[in-house]
Amino acid sequence: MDDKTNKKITGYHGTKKENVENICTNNFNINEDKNNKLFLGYGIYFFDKYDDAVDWNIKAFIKELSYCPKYKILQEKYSIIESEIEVESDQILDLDEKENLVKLEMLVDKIKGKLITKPEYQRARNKTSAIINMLYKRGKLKKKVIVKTFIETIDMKNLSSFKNYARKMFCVKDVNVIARNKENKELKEEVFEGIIFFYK
Amino acid sequence: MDIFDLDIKDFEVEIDKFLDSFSEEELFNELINEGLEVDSYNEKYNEEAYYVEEKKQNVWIHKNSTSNKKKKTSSMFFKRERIDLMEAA
Repeated sequence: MDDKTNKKITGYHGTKKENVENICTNNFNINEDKNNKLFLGYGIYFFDKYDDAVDWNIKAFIKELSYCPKYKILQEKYSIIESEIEVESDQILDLDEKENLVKLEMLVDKIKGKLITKPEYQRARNKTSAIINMLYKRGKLKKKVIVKTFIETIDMKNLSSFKNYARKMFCVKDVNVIARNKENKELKEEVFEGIIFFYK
Repeated sequence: MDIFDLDIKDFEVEIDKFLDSFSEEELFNELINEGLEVDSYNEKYNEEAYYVEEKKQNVWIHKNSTSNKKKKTSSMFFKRERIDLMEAA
């Protein structure tokens, strides 16, 4: 039976300062540019933790400017948007659930089998994201939000058993589920220092 | 209907039907249009190039790879292959 209960999610999206006003006024706009190659396909990506969005901004800063930002410089150039997402529970595809993962794996495997004679496919990147995009385009997948937790390995010298860190992400496929956006300016210097520690 | 709402058996039937509606070429082109990134590395080499599948990492290595580790793996692969062929003979 479909679950029509509304679920409220708070998501954190890291972005450049110059985008904030437009997003808070006009909402997000999904960029279907082929260069927008994120792992769950086209959509707006949110973290469930504020700190992970700060981490995203630090990575984006380093990628753009090739050096580790100081607290104030990061504050000047990047910001975090805190968004309220309201979506029916049956409109969420939770890829942390084993059954959904098995289905996705089955699909990816069947496509791999169908394209077995194409070595360029076997070597290609961005497969899962392209498959998800294709399912949406063909109307086979219609969920408004995809949820997935990704495990990142942090370079720990002394705590090797604790090196796995989980980041939960939401990929919003339909911007109408975003009820509110506001800039979150609460980046505390000690939070920043805790995150930047791993980049120094 | 969203295919992820189907139970796993119906899901399989549905995706088989969906994939059967494409030829191999159509499916590949559709995925490219949806962001599949066919490595420029692949385009750099001509069709005569051959690749070795490194089973552990599931990566493909070009015979002219400049990486010593990859070359070593590649050379080990061909050495094994030669031994297998000799034994078969």
